[in-house]
Amino acid sequence: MAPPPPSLSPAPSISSGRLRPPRLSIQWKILIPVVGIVLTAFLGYAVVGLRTAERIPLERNYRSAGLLAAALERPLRAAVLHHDEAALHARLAEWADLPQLKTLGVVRPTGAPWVGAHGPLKPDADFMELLKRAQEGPGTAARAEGPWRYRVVKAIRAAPNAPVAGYLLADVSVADPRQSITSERAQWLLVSGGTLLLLAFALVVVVHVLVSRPLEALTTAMSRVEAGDYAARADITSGDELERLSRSFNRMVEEVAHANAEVTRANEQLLRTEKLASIGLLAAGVAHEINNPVATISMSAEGLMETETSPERRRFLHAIIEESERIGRIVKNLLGFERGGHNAYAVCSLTEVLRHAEDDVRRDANQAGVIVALDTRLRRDRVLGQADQLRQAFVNIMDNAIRAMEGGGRLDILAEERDGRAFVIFRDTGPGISREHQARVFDPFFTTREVGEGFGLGLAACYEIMKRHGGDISCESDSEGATFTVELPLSEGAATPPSLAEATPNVSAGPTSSL
Amino acid sequence: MVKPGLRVLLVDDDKSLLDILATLLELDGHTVVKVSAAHQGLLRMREETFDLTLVDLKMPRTTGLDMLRAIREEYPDTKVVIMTAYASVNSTVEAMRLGVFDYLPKPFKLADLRRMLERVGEEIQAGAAGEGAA
Repeated sequence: MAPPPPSLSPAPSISSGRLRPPRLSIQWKILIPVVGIVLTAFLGYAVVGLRTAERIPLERNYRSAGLLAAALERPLRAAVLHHDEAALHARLAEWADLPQLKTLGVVRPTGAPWVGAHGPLKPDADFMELLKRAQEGPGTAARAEGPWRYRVVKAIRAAPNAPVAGYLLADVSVADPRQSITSERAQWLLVSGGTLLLLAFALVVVVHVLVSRPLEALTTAMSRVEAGDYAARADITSGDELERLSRSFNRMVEEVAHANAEVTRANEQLLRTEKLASIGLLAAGVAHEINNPVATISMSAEGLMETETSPERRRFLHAIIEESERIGRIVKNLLGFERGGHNAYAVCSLTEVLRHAEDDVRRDANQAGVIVALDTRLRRDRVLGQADQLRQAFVNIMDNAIRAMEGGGRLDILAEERDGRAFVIFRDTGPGISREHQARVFDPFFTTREVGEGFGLGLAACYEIMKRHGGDISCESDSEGATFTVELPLSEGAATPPSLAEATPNVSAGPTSSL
Repeated sequence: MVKPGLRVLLVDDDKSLLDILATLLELDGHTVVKVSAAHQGLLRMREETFDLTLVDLKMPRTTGLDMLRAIREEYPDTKVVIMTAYASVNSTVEAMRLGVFDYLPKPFKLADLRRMLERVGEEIQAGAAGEGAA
């Protein structure tokens, strides 16, 4: 009894989960740091810039206050030198509206009130103090009054060393230099930051086109492969590493698809073999239980038949005997599956085996009106195998064909050598086999015949026998009939006489069985 | 020619078949002792001699092959025919090696059984004639 083949475990699943979309696309991974850097630089620059602006030296402010005072002094100079009070007043009144200028006026060199923007200006104590400093000093004195506000006293004279003709008193507001500095820098920062951001976005686009999109294509292909679609390919023609990656991915998928097909095929074959083996085991177990009662029934009927004279009763008994024999045949055929592997292999002549098989079916063929034409063109016809099993397989195929052509027909059998292997082609003129049935004809218990007309094991047995002999069997069909092609490896050896195994009582499937 | 009745020991654990076979053989004029286990059969063989032991191959405890082996040792003149509902190649070869007279795969036909019994009868006659000649 053949050891049961190892149980078939499901193909190991490689995938551990579907490919999830990435949490963060690569382009964002690039963009976010770039934006971060730009913003940090921007802020850093702004903070540092403002700090610097606060430390702008005060002299510069004094100077700007002085310059402003000088700018005011010059237009007034002519009027002061000529004591032209009307012109002076007109000019001062003209300036009185300027927001930077407050308390604007001109006093006598002594500090006595003279002309102001809104009438004669009488300097207060504060002004007097500054005036004194100006008289003692170079002619100009200024003091900060508050942020960016200065009180200025400026001597008005014809020339630097000329006697003072009068003093200009003014409260001057100068622009906050920080503002201008900051806005300058802010502008610069905006432009440069904007440019950087634009560059970053450009980078994103570039990364998207060069990296993300090909990766996306690759990921899509991977997902499809994972879902079992081995036709999926990543079509990347970027000419860089990604293309190389996609090419090796495609190659890998091809190999996986190939291996997968191989595994599927092997699984199917294993399943079929397992099914056949389990039929054999079942048959072996059941055979004993069935054959004993069948023997009792048939022997009893035969015993009765000896003395029975009534024709009706003899018919009944005959039926019992015939049907018991049929049960016996069925069990024997089932046993054929289990026992097939035990007979010794010997080199035998395929031509001879075919002739014997043809002889076996001749009677049935004649009854059905089927012409069986055997044409062997084998120059070498030695095969290593179990002659009785091969014969049984050929009989099963022929029997099938003959049964398919009940109204008569023709079964052509052609045996020939191709590439060192023997091919036997059985072509009938029957109604053919539908496409859906073609895939299943070699499955055990598949039959299209009426109940009681067969088990659906004949072709399954053929398949099993051919596989055991290192051969194969296939089926094609169209509306003009069915073709079964058997393929067997040829042997180099010479045919040996029937082996010991064949000499043992042959209790396996009889040649005229129908399964 | 009067058909010589053979003394047959019938061993089978299937009682129905045992009864039917015994009846059929008795109808044919043979003397049949039927037992349903091999050890019972061997006990009977100590008491009387049989021309033929028709034994089932697969029986609980002592099988037909074991019985064949025992008979070969102790009663080499008794022919042994093994019946079986399921003949494996190994058991067939073993039985042949042990010198089984015939091998009947169940279900067999009455005609097969008769033919076998006839051959046993012929062998016995031939043996007796041979002995007589010697």
